[in-house]
Amino acid sequence: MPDDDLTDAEEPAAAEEPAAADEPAAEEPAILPEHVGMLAKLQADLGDALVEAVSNHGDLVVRVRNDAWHAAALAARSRLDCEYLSFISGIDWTSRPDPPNWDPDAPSSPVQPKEVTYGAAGSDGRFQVFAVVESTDDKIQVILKTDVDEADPHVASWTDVYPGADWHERECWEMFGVRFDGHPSLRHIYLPGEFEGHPLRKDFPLLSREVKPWPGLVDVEAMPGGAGEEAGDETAEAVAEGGE
Amino acid sequence: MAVTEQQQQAFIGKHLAEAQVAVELQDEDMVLNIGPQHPATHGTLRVVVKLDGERVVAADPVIGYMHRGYEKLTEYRSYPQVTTLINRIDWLSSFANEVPFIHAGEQIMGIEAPPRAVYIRTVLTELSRIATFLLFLGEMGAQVGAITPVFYGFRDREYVLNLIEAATGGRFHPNFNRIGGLKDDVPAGWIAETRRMMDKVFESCDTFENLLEGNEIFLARTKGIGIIPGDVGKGYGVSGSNLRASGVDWDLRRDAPYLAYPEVDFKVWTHPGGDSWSRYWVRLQETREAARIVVDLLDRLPSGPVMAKVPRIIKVPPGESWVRVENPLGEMGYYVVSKGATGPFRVKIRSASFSNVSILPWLLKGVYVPDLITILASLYFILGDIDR
Amino acid sequence: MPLQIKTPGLIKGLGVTLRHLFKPAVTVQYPHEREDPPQRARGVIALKEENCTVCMLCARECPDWCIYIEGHKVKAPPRRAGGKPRTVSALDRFDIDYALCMYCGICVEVCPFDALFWTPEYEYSEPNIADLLHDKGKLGAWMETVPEPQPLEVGAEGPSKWR
Repeated sequence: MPDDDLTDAEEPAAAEEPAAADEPAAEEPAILPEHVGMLAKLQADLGDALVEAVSNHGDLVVRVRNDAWHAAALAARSRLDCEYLSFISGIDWTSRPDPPNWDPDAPSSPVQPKEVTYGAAGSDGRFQVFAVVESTDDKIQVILKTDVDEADPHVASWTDVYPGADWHERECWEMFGVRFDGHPSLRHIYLPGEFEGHPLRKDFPLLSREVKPWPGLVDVEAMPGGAGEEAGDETAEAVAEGGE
Repeated sequence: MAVTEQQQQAFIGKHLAEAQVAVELQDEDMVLNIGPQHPATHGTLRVVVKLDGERVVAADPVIGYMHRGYEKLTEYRSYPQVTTLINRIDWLSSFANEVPFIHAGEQIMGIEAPPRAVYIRTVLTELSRIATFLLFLGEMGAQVGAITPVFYGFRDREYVLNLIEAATGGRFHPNFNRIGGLKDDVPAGWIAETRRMMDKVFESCDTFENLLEGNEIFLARTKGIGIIPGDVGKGYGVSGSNLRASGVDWDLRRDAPYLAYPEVDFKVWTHPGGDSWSRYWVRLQETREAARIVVDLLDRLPSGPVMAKVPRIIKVPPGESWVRVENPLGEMGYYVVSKGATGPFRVKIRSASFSNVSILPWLLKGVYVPDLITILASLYFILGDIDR
Repeated sequence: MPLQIKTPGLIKGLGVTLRHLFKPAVTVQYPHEREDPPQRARGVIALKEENCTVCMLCARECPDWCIYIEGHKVKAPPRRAGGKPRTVSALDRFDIDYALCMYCGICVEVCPFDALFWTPEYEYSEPNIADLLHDKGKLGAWMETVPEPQPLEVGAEGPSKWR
């Protein structure tokens, strides 16, 4: 893990597991040596539109300014020979509003933390569009990211650089509502045409999990007369022992 | 030179017809729906084609009939629960689907699976590759009119699925990977049984070669049909055997090593043709190669535990990881973003078939209707892998 | 295309078909003969009711939320003579909805008291979807079909329990 703004948040979790403790987090440089050349080539084309770059688990992550998204594709394609488009997608960095009242410590109820944090190479706001392009000749890949305005999410289309961007952008538009300027026909790809809303935005509820209560809310009925208070707890103790 | 009015009318009419062909989906050509329920579409893919006689003028694949919203569902589930979901993305090679997701989790947590687990994972991944390709080898024949191979394909795939079931408990949905290793070791006698079955796989590859490669009707229906030039394929994100059949020497097992592949010596098969027949041929060779890899790995299976030390409750620290592997159908990857909860914050599933099928509008232009079936069969997609 | 070019491939293919004519069939006439699934096959889940302590772990971990458990507390006699009487949970309801179940096996793995087991049985289809909800009686009846644990392959270091 390179030293971006996630490192602080990592501490409490890392303390819990012995395996992660000896991870060489601190000594790993922000940019791996093999990425320096790649980054320099991109930098030459993009200039100050390249906001941030970081090596994350062996991949080069580059964040560019929104208006340089198209230039980034051109630079990756021409300078790094990344002719292969893996995917384009988006992410909504906010947390789900009003999570159901689940037990946040229960293993099966993944309630995400409330505070908003951003991943590798950071972000300016809620939405980000990211893509992976690869070079089949040089066997390298670059992860490109760009921030997207929350009020008016739009970014340039890559369809003229990578023909395969067509479907990926349609999917991203449908799921996040990010408009791709210059896309030939932004229409629904998975969902029916009259579908409203953008399902992968965090504020779009997953109804099947909202209407049915979490089974973890159910508990064993206490004995009539309130005698069950101090007891019962054979079960709980045994559960704690159970997994070793 | 005097031009009669009739000649002039004929000239204008001819050009008008050509101009109309160029305008998509608005002239009087026949619009034909192929699918969503059609045997050639392996599920619920619908291809709307506009025909000019027998020739496809424009094609628009309509997907989403099987969209299950897995990217959303993963956000509401914990890591062990997500593994059961991703089994169902590409159900023909579910074990191979689990591996990249588990790798992404392990990468963020900084855990490494013990060597025995890595070897067994590799063996099972290759077994699911064999199962997937055997079905393809049989079904490809059926799609172009040769009925016999499909029975042999299903029969031989069953041998491999039995092996997967004996080891994991599930024929189609193994759910055998855990963050940090495997659920269990393989049962006694499994290795000997696998070796025996691999002999059968070699045998059945020969059978398919005899049945189809020498079959002139098969050759006539596949050679030169649906040519994907390597450059176009790359731009569309076509991957796996489809790209290797276009002469692009690109195999993530060798080029971005994962699992035990760096320790195995195997050949990456390519074919310069780019047509349906090349895709068939490359997959046939890869089936043999996969069987060789399995035998090689079983000879050197290290002993030891199959599970690393992991906390009882899997909590993945904040971070993100992009892991892609060479699935039977092509490049499959997961972009996992974690915020430190017991479940992932966002999972982007990059599935191979989605990109492989996205080339269809380009590829189907100008082909004849019967060739369309050949092309769909030779691209070999799984609907669950397109729609997720 | 002239006929003589087509012949060799055709004969080769027919040769394969002919050879298979003399091989035994690999299919099974199902209702009359049964195939035995491997021991590990995830067919149906059996419940050993006396081991269940109503801890709800399986119901919470189920990805589909297809397990329904209800229980109440009862007084039980002390473990040792002269000890305090204990309170234990008694199982009122344990239903698995097989119409929802994904056969992932998480419930079997998380059970800390070995109350749930996989059995390779598979013949429990129902004409009515509501009948796929197996109650604790039905689940308990599967117990007699649970196979013995299988020995592991050479080189294995003991069975690994999940987590």
